Amino acid sequence: MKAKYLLIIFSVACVLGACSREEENLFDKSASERAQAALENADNVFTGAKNGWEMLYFANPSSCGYSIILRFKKDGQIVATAKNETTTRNKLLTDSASTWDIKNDYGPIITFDTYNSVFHAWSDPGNDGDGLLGDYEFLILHADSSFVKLKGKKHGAYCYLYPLEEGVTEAQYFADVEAMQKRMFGNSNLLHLQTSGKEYLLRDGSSGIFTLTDLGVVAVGEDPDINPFAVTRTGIQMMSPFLDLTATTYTLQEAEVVGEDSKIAAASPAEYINEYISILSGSWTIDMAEIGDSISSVIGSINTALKATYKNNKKNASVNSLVFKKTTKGLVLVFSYYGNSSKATTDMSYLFDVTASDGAASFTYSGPADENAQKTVNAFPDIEKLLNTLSGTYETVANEPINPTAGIKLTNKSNSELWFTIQGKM
Amino acid sequence: MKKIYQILFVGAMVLGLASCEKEVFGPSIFVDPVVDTTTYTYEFDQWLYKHYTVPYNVEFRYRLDDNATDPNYNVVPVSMGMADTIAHLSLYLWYDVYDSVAPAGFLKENGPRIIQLIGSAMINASQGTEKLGQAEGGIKITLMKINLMETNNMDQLNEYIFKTMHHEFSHILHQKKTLPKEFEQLSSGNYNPDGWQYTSDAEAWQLGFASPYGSSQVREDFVEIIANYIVKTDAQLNTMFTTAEKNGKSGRKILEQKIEICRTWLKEKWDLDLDALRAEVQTRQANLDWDEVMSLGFLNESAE
Repeated sequence: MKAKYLLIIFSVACVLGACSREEENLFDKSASERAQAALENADNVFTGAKNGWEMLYFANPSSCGYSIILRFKKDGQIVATAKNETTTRNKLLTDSASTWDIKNDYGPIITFDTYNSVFHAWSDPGNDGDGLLGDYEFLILHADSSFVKLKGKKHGAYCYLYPLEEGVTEAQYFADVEAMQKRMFGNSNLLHLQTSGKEYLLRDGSSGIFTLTDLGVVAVGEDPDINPFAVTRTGIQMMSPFLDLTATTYTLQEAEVVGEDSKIAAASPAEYINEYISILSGSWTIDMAEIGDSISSVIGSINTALKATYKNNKKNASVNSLVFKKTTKGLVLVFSYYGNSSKATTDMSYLFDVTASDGAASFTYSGPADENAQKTVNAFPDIEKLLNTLSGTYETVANEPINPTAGIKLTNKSNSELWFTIQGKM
Repeated sequence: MKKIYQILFVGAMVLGLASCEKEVFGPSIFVDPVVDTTTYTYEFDQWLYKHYTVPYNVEFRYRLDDNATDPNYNVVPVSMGMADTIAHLSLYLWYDVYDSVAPAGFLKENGPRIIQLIGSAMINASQGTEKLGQAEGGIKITLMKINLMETNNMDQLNEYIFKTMHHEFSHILHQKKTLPKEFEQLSSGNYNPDGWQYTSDAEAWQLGFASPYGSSQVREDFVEIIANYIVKTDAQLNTMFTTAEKNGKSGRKILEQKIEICRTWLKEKWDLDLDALRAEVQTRQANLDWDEVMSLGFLNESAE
């Protein structure tokens, strides 16, 4: 009898167990339906941009970024255009004889599955088996009509796509990118990353890979933080955010490049002068066409004296250039002039000190750097007059605040007629 | 209760019978392609289906799936233009050759099921080697470096494509029917699997190998003998033989013995005449007419 009850209880338990409520569906469609929908969505996104996409391509996590214009056709054709030093030797190249596809492989994948001489230039293994270590298959991490984020399947770099504005031609696009490159990174410009808590130095921007360090000179043996980026028409696109920040897109707004949680800008012009010299060993050249009358008249006097002395080269004897640069003896102003020869210049160095304070830059002349420089001053006393005239404290204004190397106008704080402009060069 | 058992029994029988139903195979393992006439590659895909899949039961893959490549190597896909050229050329210099020499249906039955083109080489920089092709499980032949081929350079086309195809196809054949024992014994002490790449052609020939790679191991030796014998011109074969016997070396004798073993093995095991195969290849190579080769081109489909 007991066995009968046990059997009944067991049967009821089985029935109840079988009737237990099913797990609630987290999704309203099956996995395969969702995968198919994701593929269709991606396909529609890529083909939906009327003027194609600007792709900011990072071959691998250590590579600088490159711009490619991609036009995805509904029939599976892809048209790729690029212009850069590395893969096209600065020629605008387009290849339209290849294909693209969207497929499913642990999620939606975009593949460029027949060779495109423009696009596959980065993934071609070349003669060493590696080439530029780029990808041609990418995981689609995000895709909507305004933004696509991809991740290289083999080498793992992130790539970004934005719809290209209608009416912008390939030639115009790359001209704009080149102009932005020159504007932001010409003359090996030095920049600062400004976060809410700290400011960092960004070097090597002209290479497309920022080296991020604390402010100041990098210590020997220090392992710097490497941050690849691509120049865009409007600013820059980081491959990954700096440090623990979130911003990857920075837009140039007047004097600074602004991201959602940080900014990139140059130091104030006064501080920048020293930073450019001390960190990069860059030089500052006085623009002879952009100087005030006070300095111009002294230079005129020097020219007169030179012509009087070097009579056999009367036509050309003159001041050639005035350049502040770092040497083994310290910061000097290199006074370069044509004497006997109309082809070769003679350079004399004069010691200077440059400091920055309260937005102003102070230049202090302390004497000739060597005996020859002393003799030259003795022969042409107006040179010393010029050096003393340059000594003083100056208000500084950068012509291009994001890149002061383009020109800094220095106006003497006590004499507004005394001014000159310097340009940075590596 | 008895009824329940009866129902279960009948149900089990139905399921059992259903599972035992014999599958009926079609003429090709590949399903008919979904025909979308609007795709960029439609004409080429149709051409491949018509000239490869239907007659030879082979899928000619030119679009690259990274999953199908060795992840240890960096490669790129083949260009559409080179895929078209090589598809036509391999039809002319390989498939059509076997069709004219081998028993009917030989390639459809024994040929590779997949031919995969890859645009670049697979380079092992640390060893200083590059893969020109590979055969996988008697099913797939992968041809590499296609983008770099010069179509007017038959020696190069042979080295990188057609010799490779004969090489890899010979692998497929010996994977199905074992290598002759007497072949394995001819050079048994001279294989150098780790240092073959440092061997020159002349050194390999004088040891009785058709190429340096042939000296790496016996199965590579076997397929290199066949592949080189088929694609090398008379002049090139003569150079190989005369170099192989220079300074009293025994290379020529060994090479000739190996060729004879291959000749016999192919005839007995596969009813394939190696010399007829070579003669057909040599005639076609010497009289290569690009207009004829490309006349079935997908860009000129109306010429068919």
